[in-house]
Amino acid sequence: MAANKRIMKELAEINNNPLQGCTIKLAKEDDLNNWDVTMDGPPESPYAGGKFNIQIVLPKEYPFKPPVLTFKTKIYHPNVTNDDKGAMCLGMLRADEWKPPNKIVDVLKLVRAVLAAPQPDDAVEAGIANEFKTDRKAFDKTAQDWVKKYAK
Amino acid sequence: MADSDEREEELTTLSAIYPELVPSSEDFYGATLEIPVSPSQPLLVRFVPSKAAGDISLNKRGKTSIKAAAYIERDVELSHLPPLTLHMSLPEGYPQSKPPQVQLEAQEDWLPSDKLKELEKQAEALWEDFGRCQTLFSYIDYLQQAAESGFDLAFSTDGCLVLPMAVEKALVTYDAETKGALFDAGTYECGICIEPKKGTSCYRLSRCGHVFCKSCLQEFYNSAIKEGDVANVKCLSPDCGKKGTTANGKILRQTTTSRAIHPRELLAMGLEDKMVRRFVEMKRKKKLEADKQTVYCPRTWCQGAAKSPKYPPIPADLATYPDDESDDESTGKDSAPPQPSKQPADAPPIDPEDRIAVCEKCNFAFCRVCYRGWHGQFARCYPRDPNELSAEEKASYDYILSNTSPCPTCSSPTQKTYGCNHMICFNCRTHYCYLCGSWLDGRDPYQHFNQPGRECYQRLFELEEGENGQAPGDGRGFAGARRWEQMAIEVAREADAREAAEAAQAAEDEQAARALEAEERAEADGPENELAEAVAQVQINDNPIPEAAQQRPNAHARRRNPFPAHPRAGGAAAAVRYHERQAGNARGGRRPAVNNDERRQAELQRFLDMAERDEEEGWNSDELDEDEDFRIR
Repeated sequence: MAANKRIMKELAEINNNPLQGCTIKLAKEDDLNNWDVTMDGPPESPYAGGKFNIQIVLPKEYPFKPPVLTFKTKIYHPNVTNDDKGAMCLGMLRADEWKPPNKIVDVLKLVRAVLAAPQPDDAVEAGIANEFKTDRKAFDKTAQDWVKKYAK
Repeated sequence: MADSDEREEELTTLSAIYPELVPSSEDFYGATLEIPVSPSQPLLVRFVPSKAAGDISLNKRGKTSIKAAAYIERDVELSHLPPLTLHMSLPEGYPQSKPPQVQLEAQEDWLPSDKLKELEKQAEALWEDFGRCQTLFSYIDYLQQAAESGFDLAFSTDGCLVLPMAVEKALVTYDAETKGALFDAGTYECGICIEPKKGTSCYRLSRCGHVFCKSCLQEFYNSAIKEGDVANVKCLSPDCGKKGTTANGKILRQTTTSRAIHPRELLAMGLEDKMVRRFVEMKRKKKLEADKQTVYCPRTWCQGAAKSPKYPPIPADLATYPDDESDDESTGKDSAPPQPSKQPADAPPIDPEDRIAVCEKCNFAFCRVCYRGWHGQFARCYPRDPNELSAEEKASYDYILSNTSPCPTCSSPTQKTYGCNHMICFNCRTHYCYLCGSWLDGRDPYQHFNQPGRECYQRLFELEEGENGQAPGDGRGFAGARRWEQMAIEVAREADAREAAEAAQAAEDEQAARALEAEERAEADGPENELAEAVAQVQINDNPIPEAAQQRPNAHARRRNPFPAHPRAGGAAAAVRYHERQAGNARGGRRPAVNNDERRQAELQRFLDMAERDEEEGWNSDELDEDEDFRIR
């Protein structure tokens, strides 16, 4: 119950004070634990112009356990798994690094920061990370192609 | 304007400004005011035994009740000190011709009296400075500012205020109480439930100062402790301990700060005693296990850790649990990682007196070098790796090897006392054949015994009365434990590797051993055939226990057996190999390749006798529990 209250508060907070480039709604009206986020690709990044659909599932134990974040839109990024899951597991999202006072807003801010500046040393896709490090041009191109293909 | 009016007017004004001003009951022109002392910078106070504080004029209460036997200094930072009491009296002729009369008094007598005098004098000085007019307000203001700066006590020669220990308790309590009252009166937003909460339902972590509401803290820590996630019992703030800063931005001495939470605090948050105890116990266990110096009780049924001054037992009152710096994985201040000693971590302590270890669970006193019962400091003993097979354990292996059948699924050794050879594992309910260890289909287990041509055809009731029952004369009898054989070989191989290393080390023992070795070589002249055979026959009912028992006193004998293992016998390393050979020798040479039934029976009998003797004598040496013989490390 306490968790629901917190989620409601967070939702209200984020609606009153929306995060730039993000629209947030509940996937289902009556399910507070399932958030639907649409995030614009940060300008100045290869993802600019793309709209990425991100699903955030808040576990039952939230905020004691971290939210689970998945990209529903395919994205070419070293920190997002290149499969149908589109999972992201980074920094504060890791179970051992998650701290209850972190909020979804903070998570979204982190996602945005990671879209703008991928972290190849913390990658889930080693191949993409490698390309990002060694052949930035090719990486940018593929990322942009994918944006055109999937994220419009 | 009459004097009296001016005096009355001033007091009226003052009481309007300071509602807490108490008019004096005796003196119409007198009043008393308490001036709180909460310096902006906490005041460093050093408490010393009264004698050492000699130069500080102790007032009436500075009784020297403390025997200054041990000179222990304690520096404490206090943010709140007991208030000063200011008694004012406006004499006839004030303010024109007479200064105000003031008298200062510090509760608990914490302020040195010369300081009080100095402050008192200031009243007259101010009165002069102001041109002999009403000065009380300025004086109070002056006192408040002086209090704010801690009366500049920190700028004294000691850099702190030196006080006798007698007042320590009162001052510290006052400080804590004031802080607590201020905290309780405040409102805080809990970062977890994101709700503003009253100070009374919040808790401030003592080390980092972060505040959360008690119910969130309880929920989190309870679940962490329940799940055994002891490492997570620390401050919940995301930026706590990251840059070595506390909530108020003060840099701490260590780069990463202590975030571990003292059990006392968990109790203060309202966690149940039971939970906190579980937490403390788990934490202690983890530390013990991480410490390479920890030795464990050799009694296999106990295996408790030996008592160690490094890890004192958990006190009954958790609040008295020692503040342990090593809790903080990062401070690395003292005992957290076992100090790099001159010897490698697992080397035995050299001093014979240090060899005694006492199990904290069963109080068994043993030697931390040879892992036998404590033999006194004058006995010579040899290091033994506790994982190595002891004679008892080998006997146990042998017994299991030849007298039990393992479950094909879970390997639980089973010994049949009576009944047919269709077994159902007590542990995993697997059906199997006691004779050959085959898995059987639970729907029709007897097929195994009913199909002509099968190995176990018509042998459902063989050995019906257990080991003592009639075995068939054709030597096909009970084969016993296959998996155990593998495990024994595995363990022995490890032991062999260790022994080789040990042998290299023990060069000084070599000389003494050499003579014996030559002798043994002569004896074991053709070990290869025999070993190969021994390995081939591990399954065969062999009974070497008496030899194993003989072997006990010469643990070092095994150490002079570091021949590079024979390619084939290599697996059945020293532990198994050696006593196989001994067994062969004892029997007066080679054993016939085919088991002869009579001898088998005799061996079985000997075995059982042995086992029986076991229980009675408790294996005479290590005071081991009777179960010992059936247990494998």
